[in-house]
Amino acid sequence: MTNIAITSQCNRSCRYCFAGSVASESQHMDPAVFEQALDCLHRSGITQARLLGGEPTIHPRFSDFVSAVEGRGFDLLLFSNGRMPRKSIDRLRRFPEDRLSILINTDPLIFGKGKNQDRLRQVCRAFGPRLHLGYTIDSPGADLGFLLDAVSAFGLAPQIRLGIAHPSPGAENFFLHPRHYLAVGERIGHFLRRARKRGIRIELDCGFVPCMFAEADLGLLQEIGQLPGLRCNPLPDLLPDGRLIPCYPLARVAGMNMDADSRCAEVQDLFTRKLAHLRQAGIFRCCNDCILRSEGRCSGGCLAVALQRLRHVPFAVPVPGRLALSPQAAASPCRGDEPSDCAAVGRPGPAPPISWTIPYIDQPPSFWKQIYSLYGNRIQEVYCPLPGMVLPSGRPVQASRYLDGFLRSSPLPVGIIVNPVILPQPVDRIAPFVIEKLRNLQNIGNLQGVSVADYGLALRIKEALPEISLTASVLMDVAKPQQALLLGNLCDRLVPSTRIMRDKRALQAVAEAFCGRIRLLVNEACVPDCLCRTQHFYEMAYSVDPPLSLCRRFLDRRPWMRLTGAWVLPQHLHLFDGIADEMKLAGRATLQNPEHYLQVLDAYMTGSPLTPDRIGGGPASPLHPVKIDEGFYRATFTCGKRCDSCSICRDYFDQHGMG
Amino acid sequence: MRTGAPMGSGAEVFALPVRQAFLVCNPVAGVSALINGAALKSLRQQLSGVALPESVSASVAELAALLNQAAPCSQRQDQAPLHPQFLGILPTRACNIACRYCDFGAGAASHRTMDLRMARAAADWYAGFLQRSGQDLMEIHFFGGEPFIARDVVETVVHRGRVLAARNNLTPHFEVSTNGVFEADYARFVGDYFDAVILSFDGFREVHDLHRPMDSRRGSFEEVRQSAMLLAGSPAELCLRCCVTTANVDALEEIADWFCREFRPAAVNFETLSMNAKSQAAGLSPPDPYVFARSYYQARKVMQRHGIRSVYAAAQSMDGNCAGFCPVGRDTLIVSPDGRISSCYLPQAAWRQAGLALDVGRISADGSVTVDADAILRLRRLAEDKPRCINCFCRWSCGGGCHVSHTPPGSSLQYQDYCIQTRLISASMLLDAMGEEQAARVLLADRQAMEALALQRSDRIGVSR
Amino acid sequence: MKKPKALRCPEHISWIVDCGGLLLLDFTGNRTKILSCSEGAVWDLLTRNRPEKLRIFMISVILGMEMDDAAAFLSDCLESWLRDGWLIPCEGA
Repeated sequence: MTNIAITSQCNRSCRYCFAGSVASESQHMDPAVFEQALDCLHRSGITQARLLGGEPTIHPRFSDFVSAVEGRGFDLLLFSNGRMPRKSIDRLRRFPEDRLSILINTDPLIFGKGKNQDRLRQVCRAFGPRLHLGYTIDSPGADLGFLLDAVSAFGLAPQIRLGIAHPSPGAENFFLHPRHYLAVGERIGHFLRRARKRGIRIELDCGFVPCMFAEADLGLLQEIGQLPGLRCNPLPDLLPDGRLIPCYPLARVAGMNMDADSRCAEVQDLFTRKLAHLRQAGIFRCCNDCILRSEGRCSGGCLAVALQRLRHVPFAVPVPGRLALSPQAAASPCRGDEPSDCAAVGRPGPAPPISWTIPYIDQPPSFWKQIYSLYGNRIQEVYCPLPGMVLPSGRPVQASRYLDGFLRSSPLPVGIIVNPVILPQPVDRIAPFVIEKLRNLQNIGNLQGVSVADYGLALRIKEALPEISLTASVLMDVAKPQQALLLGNLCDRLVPSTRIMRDKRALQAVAEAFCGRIRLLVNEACVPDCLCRTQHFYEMAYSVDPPLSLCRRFLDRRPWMRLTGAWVLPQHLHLFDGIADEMKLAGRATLQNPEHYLQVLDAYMTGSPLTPDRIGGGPASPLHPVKIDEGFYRATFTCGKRCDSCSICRDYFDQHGMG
Repeated sequence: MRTGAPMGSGAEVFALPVRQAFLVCNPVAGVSALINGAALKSLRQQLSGVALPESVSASVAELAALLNQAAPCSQRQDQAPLHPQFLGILPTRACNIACRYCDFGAGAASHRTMDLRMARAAADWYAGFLQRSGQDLMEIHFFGGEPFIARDVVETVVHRGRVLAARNNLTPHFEVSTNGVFEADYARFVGDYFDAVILSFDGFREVHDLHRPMDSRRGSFEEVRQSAMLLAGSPAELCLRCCVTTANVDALEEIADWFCREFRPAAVNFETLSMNAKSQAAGLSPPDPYVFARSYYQARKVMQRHGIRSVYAAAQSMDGNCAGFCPVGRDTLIVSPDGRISSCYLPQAAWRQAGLALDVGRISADGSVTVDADAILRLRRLAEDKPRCINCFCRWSCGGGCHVSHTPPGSSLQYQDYCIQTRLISASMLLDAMGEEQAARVLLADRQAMEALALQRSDRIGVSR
Repeated sequence: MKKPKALRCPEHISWIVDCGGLLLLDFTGNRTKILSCSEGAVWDLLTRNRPEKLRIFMISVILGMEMDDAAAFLSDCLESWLRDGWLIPCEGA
């Protein structure tokens, strides 16, 4: 955790306060819990203790806590409303100046009359440049000008932090409705300019979104490193009773108790994973169609705001007479939170979220930890070529600086691809080397499965390493039920040929004929029945340089055919429900750029919309950021691919200005 | 000597007395200034081409040049292609409450609701039209009666609209005008699926219930307040529309403050009562226009402090479109439950009585749609033919108001109360926009000064037309 | 396996109406599903009580289908949602 809420008591009653969402058993944190919290910070390598509340300075043991922070060598950041008891002020004044920061969340009353205001001004004067101001915007009429005057009047740090009042379920607090974000953005734009003139830096807290600002204001924000849009990845808060929450507004969605082994990053990872699926919701209805989101420039705003749009109405519907239910469907899930009469039936659990196989990209371990923390066990395998150049694969040669370490200590299961479109030698000569290498990998790491494109090689691996899961690679080119039948039960899963990815019937037929699991490769853009396929993948396996785009020669003549490719956009994955058991991402284009890789991965994991040029699908992809509407995709998923006599794709291409 | 610049033939330059000063403006060019009498005299001369002595300040000449800009002719070209402002759907003319001032004829309306296939045909035709004409905003508005007593129609059109929008790459925008008398669960549907909700809410309980009873025994305040609360929390843009009569005109400031604090709407719209036989029988009357103008201005100030938009439709836009705010003349297509397509949502009898013909087409239940191009062209010209408005500086934003209630064919040349309040509010908004808030306040506190401005027969700085 | 007579939406399933359809969220399964506008319309209609015939008629109008096709579409939706746990059999069904 980063923020330690040492008390839930406060001496103000701000209408926007979100702390009321948490019913804490003890109002003041026990010193033992506080010690544990400092232990946790220490264990986590964090050097700053951030104390908040309620109003932390009214905790009866505040001075002791500050002494503990000081004694253990932590820096101190204190979040306060400024109405500090004199004793607390005195204690803070003795704290080493260079290790102390105070953030006072204030309002225009800082210039008002009264005892409390006098005390606030006294605090400001006492701490001067160690103190900076914060303001929580809860109304489109918020007047920010007083903040600049206060900084000058009291000689405070030239830095102001602006926050948005977010809804906190349970607190029934006053919050800024997204319908007013635009008006607030305009005010902040003016404020930024005034602040800049006075040399005061503005910081934006979480929840601001780019679409609330004018382009020019976004430019200003960029200049000061405050581009909004991606800050909703809450640092956990520790409550007075030792419970950890992602943040107050999300306290009812996720939480856990601190224990003797808790580490901040792990807790944060856990919350991130727990909240990952919810992040598909944005604060506006149109967030999922927004280009800023699809480009990874906005995460859809504060999750607590987005969840305000959640609905649940208990409804029941009679089953129509014609509904043909499979046995599994009829025995549909009944979870622990269902009424007891239902739970007693003891049915299987819910359908798990679909799992993913993703390509290895040569990045340091932190990169994979991040992926693990974000998506955890939804990642079935990270696949990479067999190291040591024993046998090429369907991918070009890649950097391998981190590969060895990854194979040894990846937090995610590893898959190996031994799938050149043509083997360089007969199977009998190659197989022993491949098997030996796989056996070594099995011994040192987390090897889960192997993908093969050659039937004979698959047979040999199965024979030698029966415990390894085998996948018939997409380069085996299985596109017909007869082929699936020939494959039999040699492989545990099959990745159907890209040539049928946009042909629902053909996919269904292959899926029905195959006895194992179907894994769909979703972001590969090959056009069906490409004339250059074999040569392309041959060059992919055996060229030193990445192969040229061979298909370009005919796609340049018929560019609309790029719309017929094998790609599936994240927002259309649901059209493959009932066909796919699991999904796979290719790394054609994304391997060159880890940021792009993460964007694509996140979009597919969360179903966030992308345009086809952004999925990293290779040179046959549409080249324009065209929005593919579901109606079009659905139509071309079932059209039968009579492109010679059909004009759907041609028309779509023309109508959307891709010509 | 300075050479005068004769007024451009298309320039719309007006001068209005604001106590001892004058507000000069060209609303089409977005230019306005507050000047004294001597400056106005020089400005007049300058604009009429009279050579002025050197002593005339450069600023008058500069102002003249700014004011002397021709209107960018945004008036609709007669032959311009059809471009509906929106598709209106009237699911039913019936209503579930009994407003004492209702001029929509809801009390006597049949309970007929629109056939779902007809509703679909309207949406399909509109989507097809938008696609053929290369437009991408699919704007569908629902009126009544109370649209939500014909929920099958509303839901069908909304869902059909969404499906069509997804198929055709259109951006759907749904708006509804409602009385808010529906249950909480339904408010969630409304909030989730509508982009904008115009909720009629006349302020505090006493007046709201006086204006808008459920029936002879019970007011609708509680239901409407609950709906307003739920819609306030929903994703929809909530606009509260308050009908102003003598009963609530003095409380607009308090109403605005309460609305802003309690419901945090996107906007609050204040409109004065349009008199009709029903409201007369109920003893309701519109407010004194001078009192309303002052009260509206104060409410507007309160709302500005809350950062929330206030709306008085006739003074809302100075965008140079003389069609005003009324949908008539903007190619609007509003489908009635019987399949008639009109440009106006008022009952046919109301506009017929005013000597108007506002039907522009028809939809049959089998889905065939006919739109009469001649009728569309005729209505486009309607707003231009308003003798009372010719010399009024508000004509560019007001457009003569409602063609049926305010400026029916043959109506008098005298300003109505509606004109008076619109002129005062528009002038005070122009003053505000110039930073002359104090001048606006003083004007609105001085009845005599208000009358001098509001009753000025011609505002044109040059020759009246 | 006995066929249920009615289906219901379990408490841990919520949804959000988006411009492009409807997003289903499963709070215990940590998963989501995007429904297209067509499927979303069906889901939305299910949340309000209407006679089944009227519901099917509305679906047929919304989706531009014959009544039989609309009924089949509804069945397909229900089957898929039941299979995936977005709907469950009503108790006692």
